[in-house]
Amino acid sequence: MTTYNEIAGRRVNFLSSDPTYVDTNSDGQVWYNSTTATLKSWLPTGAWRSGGTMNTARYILGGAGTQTAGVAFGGYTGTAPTTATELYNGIAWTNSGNLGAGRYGLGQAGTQTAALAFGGISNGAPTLTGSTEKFNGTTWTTNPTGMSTLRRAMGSAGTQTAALGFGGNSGVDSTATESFNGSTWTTGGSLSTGRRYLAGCGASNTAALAFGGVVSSTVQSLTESYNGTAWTAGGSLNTARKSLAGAGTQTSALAFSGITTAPTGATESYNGTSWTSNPTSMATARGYVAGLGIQNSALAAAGSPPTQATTEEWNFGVYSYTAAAWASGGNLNTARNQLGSVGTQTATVAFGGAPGAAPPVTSTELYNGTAWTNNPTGLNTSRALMGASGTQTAALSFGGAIPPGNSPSAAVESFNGSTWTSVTSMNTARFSLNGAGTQTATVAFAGNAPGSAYVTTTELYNGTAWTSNPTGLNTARGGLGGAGSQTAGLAFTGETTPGAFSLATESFNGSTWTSLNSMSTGRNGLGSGGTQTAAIAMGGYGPAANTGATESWNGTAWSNLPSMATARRNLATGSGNLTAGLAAGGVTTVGVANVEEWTGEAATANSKTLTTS
Amino acid sequence: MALFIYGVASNYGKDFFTAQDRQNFFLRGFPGDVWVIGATEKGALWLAERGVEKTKAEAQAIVDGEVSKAQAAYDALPEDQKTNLNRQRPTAINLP
Repeated sequence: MTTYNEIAGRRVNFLSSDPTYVDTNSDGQVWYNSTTATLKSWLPTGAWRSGGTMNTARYILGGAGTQTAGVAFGGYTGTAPTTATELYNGIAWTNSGNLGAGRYGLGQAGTQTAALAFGGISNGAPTLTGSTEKFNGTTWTTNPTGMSTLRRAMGSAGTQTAALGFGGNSGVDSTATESFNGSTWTTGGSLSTGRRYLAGCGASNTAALAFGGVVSSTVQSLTESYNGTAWTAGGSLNTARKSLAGAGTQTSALAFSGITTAPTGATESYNGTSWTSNPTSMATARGYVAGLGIQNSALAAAGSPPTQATTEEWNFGVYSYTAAAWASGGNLNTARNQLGSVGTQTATVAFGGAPGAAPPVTSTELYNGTAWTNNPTGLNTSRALMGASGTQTAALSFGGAIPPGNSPSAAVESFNGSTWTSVTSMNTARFSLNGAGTQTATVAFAGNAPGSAYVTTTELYNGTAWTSNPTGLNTARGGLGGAGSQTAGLAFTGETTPGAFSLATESFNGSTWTSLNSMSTGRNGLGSGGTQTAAIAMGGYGPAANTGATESWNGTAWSNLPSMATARRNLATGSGNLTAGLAAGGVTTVGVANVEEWTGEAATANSKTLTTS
Repeated sequence: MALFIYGVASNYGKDFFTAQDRQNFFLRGFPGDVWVIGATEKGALWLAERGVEKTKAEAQAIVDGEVSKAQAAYDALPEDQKTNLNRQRPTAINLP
């Protein structure tokens, strides 16, 4: 009898607990867990996780490329066809050159730097088009010739120089197949069953797969395989559906999403012969997504209903992912906005602020992750719109707007977990500033100085005295976000002039500010936290209303995260970080006491119990 | 098929909605304790346990009333406080 040692080149370990999953080299490792008396292994399976949120919500769009180098284009926003094109790097979407003509229900092929868009319904009156456009990673160019059969909702496959379009609706459900060689379209073999809203995938115009779709009002499970000349029947989908998406090749495909009688997130894998249902479905059931990638690493972008901007990533491995989300936290005892806060999600101090348009208060509250407790003593001076740094038991409050008249203040107070003590004032009185660091090593930046516009002023505190930094921010602003430390700080977004919001991000090294990549949503009065290389921005006002928009910073780029449940501005300056954040108070139409807790995405390595059955 | 259900529910704090709720269904809060919830079984159950269902028109009327009150409060502020202190005139909110 062959032994495991002979097959795998290693023995079955006898362990009292499951080992740590290291990387894909751990795949297939078998061990006996003596505590649970089970034989276990790391066996890769497929799972969906949330991806970056697109800038333009839409559905029935096109997509091409891979999960870490993708492009999505066109589609319908819910009100009009769009020309919007976005590039995906595995983390975030960025806008790129627009299609020449807005269209939806189009065909797709190629890669991020060599994509093809063809057919669909074009701008203006709903008009079928055969127009073909080529993308070079930056701009689209219209090909001199288009498809012969104008159509929408077709299946497609291949590359920019070897593409295939098949089926769809040209006024009737079509069986027509057309092959593209990089310059012209020629007629190919017909599908056995004319249908629309089918999916396709495949490496070229001589090796493609068509599956699903709808005939009249009956959703389909049938699969057909193309060899460059003719279509041959393949194994049926387990879940018949239309408006689904596909990724991969003719012999290693993935089908996902779609509409049965309702949106579905069902995911199936194809081996060239038959489809196998995966135990896990997409987190958000939907149809009309852009599908791209390969069988083990795919991407579902946008879709409907309702019209989505969210994306999901499919990966094959041992990890399962719990999506990041906001949940309600304990309510503040005093509803207010423009307050300060520092600390962690389970150990925060919130102080000052204003209940609605009323004068600022001194009230200080402590949060333990469940409930807020009123601290017996408050700030020495009531204030709002102050900067804050430190922790729940070693906090610093600096500047702010104070009564009467909400004038800018330079006053600084230090908190030891129970009482506030006045310490050395800043050099420049101001409000709507922000800061980063600890109680004894803080950097304060930006804000409104007396009688002036927003400033770039940066000051450093060493626990005893404030020193004006020779250089300030590159962009003057107020109501901005801040994160990090005195020698590794981060400033982002904020208001530059009343009603104008900056997207700018700047990093601080202890002496100078450097401009970095921009945020997606410019705003002021937001909450923020984290470090210079892992920050979170939450809520605020901008560009024209309160927002619940949440973004994460990875040291290089911002990505959109799930939004807060309640959009608000002038919330607490910020506690926590990208893994466990806290958004307290703020104003909707009135000052609120509501709190939301942020939990970042969590990955869990899942071992499988082996049985003899 | 309606995409959303509408209701009024007072946010009582911790666990009023959980991270799992946010993953299970669409959920957005608006002024006047108005909530817009994805029209799923779990979404409907969440609202039934916490508040009262409203029609979209009823929910919109509540939000409109809150916005109007806030606009009146803003308009009554001294001019120097309207454009300062991160205050903006509340804008109309259209429920999805």
